[in-house]
Amino acid sequence: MKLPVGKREKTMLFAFAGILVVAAIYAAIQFGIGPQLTKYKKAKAEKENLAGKIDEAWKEIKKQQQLRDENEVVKKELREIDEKYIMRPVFGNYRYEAEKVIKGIASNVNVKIASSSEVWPPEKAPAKQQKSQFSAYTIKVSAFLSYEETISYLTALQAENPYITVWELDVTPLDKGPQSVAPRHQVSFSVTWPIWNEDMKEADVKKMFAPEEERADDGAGADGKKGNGKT
Amino acid sequence: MNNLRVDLIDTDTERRSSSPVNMKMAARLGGTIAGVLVVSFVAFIVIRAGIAQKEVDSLKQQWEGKDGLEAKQTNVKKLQATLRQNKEIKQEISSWTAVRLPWDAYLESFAANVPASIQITTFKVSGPVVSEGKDQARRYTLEIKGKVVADDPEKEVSALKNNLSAGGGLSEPVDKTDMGKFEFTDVRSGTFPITVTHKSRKYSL
Repeated sequence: MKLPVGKREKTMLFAFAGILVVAAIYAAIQFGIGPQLTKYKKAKAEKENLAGKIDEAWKEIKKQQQLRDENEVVKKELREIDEKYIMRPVFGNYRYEAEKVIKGIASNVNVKIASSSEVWPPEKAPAKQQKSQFSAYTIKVSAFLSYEETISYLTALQAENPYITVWELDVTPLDKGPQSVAPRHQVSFSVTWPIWNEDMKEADVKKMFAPEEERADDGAGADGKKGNGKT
Repeated sequence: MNNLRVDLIDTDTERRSSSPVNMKMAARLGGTIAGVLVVSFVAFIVIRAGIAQKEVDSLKQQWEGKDGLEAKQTNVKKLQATLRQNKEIKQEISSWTAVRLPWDAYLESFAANVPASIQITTFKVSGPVVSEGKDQARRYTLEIKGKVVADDPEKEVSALKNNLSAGGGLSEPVDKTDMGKFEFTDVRSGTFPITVTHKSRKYSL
């Protein structure tokens, strides 16, 4: 093809060609390079994001066994605490169990308890209040004891359960008896036990602290009691 | 002499440049190179985008699904949460021990501080739960009332108060000691109240 001879025609032709080239470049960027570049950038960002997540996941997954072991240790300690020291209701009643402890210790240190009364309903756990899974069950006890017997009794009571608190003690001297007997006082004190919150069912507690292998076997056990090993 | 000069070349269309680079040729070459570059760049981008997408698909396979890393990580997170919760429960229940008054040491130390001239008529200790900032604590307070018979009864009671306030007096650290009004019953005897407030014992969470 021959180029036109006239200068004007040539200029117009070149201008037209230039416009075509610019349009072609624009179209290439808009419909070819642009979308591909966007796709590439998106894929790259997604890749980096996923790679980061995978790295992070691997770091955490590597700790799984250590976490599991640590959790088993803590659960074992909690199981022991739960079984030995957290008071359970008998037919919805804590007083029976509490009095059993109070009178049992009285018998061990050879003193007599005059009376006891419970504070009902249990109060919020003192340490964390609303956020706690525990409540505080308190019983008020009265007895006629000497000062030495009071010391022996309270010491034995707190030794029996490291989580109970005797937080109130009132000693009122009585008239002196015979010289041969240590003077008796009217002693009253308040003892508080940790108990599970009302909404923490026995089965939930057992399930919570059951060893991992028992929990895995426990799929069918809706009551959570299966294989918990507690008599 | 008349020199006749005839120019037979059409200056616009037939004139040849003496330069070794032909403008037309250079334009064609430039255009071709530019075209090749653009096409190569597009191809490069397309290929890289394809590779990156494949890598994404492969990573997604590792990440998603029932046995994928995301599920495994979720399990670990659940385990972490369970462990944290169990530790908190243990910490909380352990804190119950921290707020207890060691009654044997306390009562024995009190008895050791009371002289024979003083008879205690009321002995009351209470440790209600109090809030201390964000923490909960038990603040034990000892309230005593007594009778004294001595040559200088008021001085005897002051000595008792000072003993109870002093570091070696009671087994429990003392925050403050207040002595109420001393009332003489006769010259050598009287009654008194003393209140000892101990430093609080915090539920250490």
